[in-house]
Amino acid sequence: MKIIKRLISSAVAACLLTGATASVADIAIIVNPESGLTSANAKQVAAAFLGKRGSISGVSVTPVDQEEGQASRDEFYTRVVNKSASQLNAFWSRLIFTGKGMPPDQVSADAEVVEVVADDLEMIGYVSPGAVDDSVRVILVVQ
Amino acid sequence: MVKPNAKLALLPLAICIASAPALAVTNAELEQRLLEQENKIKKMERRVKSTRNAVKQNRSRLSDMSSRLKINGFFSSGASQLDSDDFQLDSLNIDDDYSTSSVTKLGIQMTFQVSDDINVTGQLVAKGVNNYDVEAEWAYLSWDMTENFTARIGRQRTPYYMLSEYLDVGYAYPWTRPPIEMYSLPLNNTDGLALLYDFNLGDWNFGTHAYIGEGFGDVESLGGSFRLQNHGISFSAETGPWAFRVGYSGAEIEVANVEEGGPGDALLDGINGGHDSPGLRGLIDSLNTAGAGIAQVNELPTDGIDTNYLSAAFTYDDGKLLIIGEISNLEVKDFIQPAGDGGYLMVGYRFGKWMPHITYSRFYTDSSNDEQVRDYIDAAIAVGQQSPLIAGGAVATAIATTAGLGLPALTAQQQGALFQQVAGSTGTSLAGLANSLETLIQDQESITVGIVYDINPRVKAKFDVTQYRSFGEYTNHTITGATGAHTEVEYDGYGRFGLSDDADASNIDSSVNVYTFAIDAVF
Repeated sequence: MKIIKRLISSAVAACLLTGATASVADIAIIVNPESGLTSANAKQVAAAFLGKRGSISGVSVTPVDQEEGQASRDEFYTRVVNKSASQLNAFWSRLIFTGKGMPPDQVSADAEVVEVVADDLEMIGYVSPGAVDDSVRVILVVQ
Repeated sequence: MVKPNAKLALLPLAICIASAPALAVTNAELEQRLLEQENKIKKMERRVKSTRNAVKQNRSRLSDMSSRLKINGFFSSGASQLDSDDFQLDSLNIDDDYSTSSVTKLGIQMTFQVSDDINVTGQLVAKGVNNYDVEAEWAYLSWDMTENFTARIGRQRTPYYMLSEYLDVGYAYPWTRPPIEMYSLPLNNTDGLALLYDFNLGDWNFGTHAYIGEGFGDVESLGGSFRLQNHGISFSAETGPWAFRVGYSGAEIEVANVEEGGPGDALLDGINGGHDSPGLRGLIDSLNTAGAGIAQVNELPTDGIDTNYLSAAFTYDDGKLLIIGEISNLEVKDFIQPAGDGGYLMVGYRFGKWMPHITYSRFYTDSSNDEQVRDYIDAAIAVGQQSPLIAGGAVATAIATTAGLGLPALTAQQQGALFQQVAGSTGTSLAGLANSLETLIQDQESITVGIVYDINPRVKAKFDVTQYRSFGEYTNHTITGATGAHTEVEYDGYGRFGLSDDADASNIDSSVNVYTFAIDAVF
């Protein structure tokens, strides 16, 4: 009986573990805990990161991006913004070289996004859910 | 009885008790020392903290500097070649030998954030088609007056078409070059003021772009330099995968300078007269005083030439399917230039890193353009048919002149030779004028099939083949001066292309393929 129980619990643990690896690919959208923003949908977040909107539900937001090659960045742009890296570059090159917009500033890791967002009332960022701590507020998790 | 190991266990206790008096003696001293140590540690901590702050500040100042200056660039290179020895595309350096200059471009853009709401941007571009001469395509100061309102002053791209503002950035569009049926206006910059107003309404983003200013520069195909007083406005709207744009641009053109013997000069002299040539208008006047009754043509203006350009475009891009369509109309008032309607429709579909695409494109000069040109052609022919009269007049003048100067009278043979010479050259030059005017009536369509491959997120490889065809026909005029006989032969047209030196105009290919390979990058 004991052996069976152990087997079951280890199977559950294995499930949880694989569940955890899958959820590494989830993306959490975070803002400052003091921000007036408590929730948002993927469309609103995408519009903010593409420079099409300066606010979500009337709350001013400034996106902070991650550098190319970061896992969170790839997840965010394919799942939330629905653009491949080259489509995104084509999109920005149309704005950059016509003086109509600049892509958001970049930092180099989830931890830095958390730091920047915790530090600034208007900042909005994306990180893998594992990087979230209580210095920031999650307003959307995209799976 | 105490066990020996229990004795051992008691030993430390004994030592403690023994040293206790000594400790008691120095307790106050120790506390003092501890306090000193603590203070020292605090001081060091403070020092570390201030160093850390200094480093942090320094780093933020550095990042501030680097975030205030942004440098971006774009690059294209490749090769292009066409497959007919009759055609050439001079404005793009394309002929039947492969050329790299037709594709190669480098652009560097610097934007310096002067303050929160003001930035200065400069874009320097070197293009193969301009012998890599570096030109400032953009140089402006931009001021975000409110969240929605931006004013820009300085040199900017004239927003004629949807792609006009990033015409040089190959990476931003699917072809190796935008369809030439549509993207062919010369002088693409305006130095002046632009106001941009953007706003959102529900799921829609709207934009307005109004501008006024001056454009100037050389147009090689016309052999001259021009000044444009430009103004215009465009509206754009986008929602989800859809984007729409309509634009109007107006310009008042002044011919600043024409190269002697160039195509612009030949046209102006041929019609208005100048450089010892009476021009078409001068000849009509003389013939009409002799009672010929030929309708006079308008003088070609060299300033105040009004042009209007209208365009409308849409894009659909859902991430996989890409559709772009655009149409335009150019009107040039009181001047003869190939003006008319152009447009294209492009469809592409992304399969991962590959995107095959197909484009249909067409341009034709419209009826108001063609009528205007035909008036001049008809007049040139009518004058050419009067070559015997003109030559007769010249002979009479020569007889009178020699008599007036007291020189020996011209022999019949001399008179005959003079007649033949003047009649022949008059007939030839008027037929030539008519033939060059015929090239201002144009028609062509093209089909482009291409593929784009994403080498990496910042570099693309492209290959496309465009077949240009349906050039229509034009009339080739010949005038036999001595009799004034006019003959017309229909020749196959060549649209926006030029004929190579080897081409036999009476027998040219009915279509031409242009092959282009390009690597486009943004950085």
